[in-house]
Amino acid sequence: MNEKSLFEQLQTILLQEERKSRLEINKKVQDIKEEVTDLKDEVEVIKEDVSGLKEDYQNDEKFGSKVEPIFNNKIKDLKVNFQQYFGHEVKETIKAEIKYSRDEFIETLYPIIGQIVRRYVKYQFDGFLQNVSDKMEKAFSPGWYWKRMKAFFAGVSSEELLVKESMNIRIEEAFVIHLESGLLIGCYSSNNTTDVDLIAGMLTAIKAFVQDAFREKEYGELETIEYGKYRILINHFHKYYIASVLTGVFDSHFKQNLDKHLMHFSGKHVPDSIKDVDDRLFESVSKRLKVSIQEFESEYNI
Amino acid sequence: MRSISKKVILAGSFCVGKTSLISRFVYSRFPFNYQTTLGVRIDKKAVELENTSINMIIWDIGGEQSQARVPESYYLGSSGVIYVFDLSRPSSFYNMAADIEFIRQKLPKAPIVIVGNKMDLLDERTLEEVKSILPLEPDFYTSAKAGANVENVFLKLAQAMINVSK
Ligand SMILES: Nc1nc2c(ncn2[C@@H]2O[C@H](COP(=O)(O)OP(=O)(O)O)[C@@H](O)[C@H]2O)c(=O)[nH]1
Ligand SMILES: [Mg+2]
Repeated sequence: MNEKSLFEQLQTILLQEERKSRLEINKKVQDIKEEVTDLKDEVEVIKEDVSGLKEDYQNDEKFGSKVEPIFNNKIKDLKVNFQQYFGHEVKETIKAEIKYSRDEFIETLYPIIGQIVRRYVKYQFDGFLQNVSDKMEKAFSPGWYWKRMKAFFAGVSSEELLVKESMNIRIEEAFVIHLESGLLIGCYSSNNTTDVDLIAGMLTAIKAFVQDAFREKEYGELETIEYGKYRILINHFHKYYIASVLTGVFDSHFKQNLDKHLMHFSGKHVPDSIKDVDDRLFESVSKRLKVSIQEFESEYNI
Repeated sequence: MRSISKKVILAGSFCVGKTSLISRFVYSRFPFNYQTTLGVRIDKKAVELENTSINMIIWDIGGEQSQARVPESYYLGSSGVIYVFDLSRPSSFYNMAADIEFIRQKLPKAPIVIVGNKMDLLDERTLEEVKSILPLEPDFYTSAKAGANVENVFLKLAQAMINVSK
């Protein structure tokens, strides 16, 4: 994962939050007030214009009534016979345009189509995997169908590369974060992400914001944040939470297993009471977290 | 050397220079293109004291700072507070005593450093006049613009947080 992007994406989420701020709203109200006053002025001007136009129109009434039927007929004719008059020219023009600007067309359309395809495929796959895995879950071990899926898609044609790519689950990062302060207790990163302290703080701020915005308890805690290709899964414990940043397609069984795994990790390797968030705690938790995630990944063959 | 992380928040009225003080401290510069902070911004900087490195995670909230409106989560888990007012704007310090009382209730254990900012806008005589009407004596007079005393604010808070930790 591009380290900057997670950081920046979180910043974007925080900025979205900013917009809800009271000050902004006050400012908006102020702006709207000003706009209304401006609009009033504009309406005055328009009123004057309209009454001017009215006079003109009334003077030229005779002229208008003569011209109108001619125009109307011409328009009717064009509506019916446009294809016949201009069809050929339009076709040729478009053809020529496409021919000479092929690259531009492809360049413009490619990202849009690519994105749509990717999103659609991912959506279909989420559903499909859920289906398959619902059926297989009882009969086989979790590792089994992942291996099967992988084998199934090994050596697929280039069009299906997209599909393969989007299936690939990766745990990009995981953060153990102190619930109240947002301080980072431990972390795992497959990309040597920097700014992890700041990411921990931002995640905590986002979580708190969502909780404030939705009046908390009723809806429970925030469990996932989706942003672009990342899904951040949040597991809550008593004094801290674990945020795992994933890419790829996964289903609820995968998630349940990750939950279980993290629960086990937390019970064994994170102390119940945390007085200070210091380097000793950070190093021991991070070391265990890495081992634990690697275990999980090899269990899932990812 | 032991390293320990602490959450620090800035409090005080709107536009007193909270964000500018952080910029000056963390990036050693004054933010020239001024923008009101409306949401949360988080910065960090480590300082070394008594053979300990204090990793300050600094939360800055923007918008209208009527204290009661700051979300609860902003205070939660904070180990230290910097309360800032603007020496050139009396409305930013009239409510200082009540504001600080409010913060103390929320965070009984957290040390609070009080800062009168924008010292550069006042000549010596005016500064004396302002001092005489302040409801509370601040710990520091600063200028985020000129970079005066800014480092000391954060160092003092770091020291106070170490003392609490002991
Ligand atoms: N002259 C002067 N202006 C300052 C000082 N600190 C901040 N400002 C200005 O005061 C305004 C508000 O600053 P800002 O840091 O955004 O305040 P905040 O709303 O408390 O975060 C900006 O225009 C800054 O440029 C200072 O020490 N001296
Ligand atoms: Mg600010």
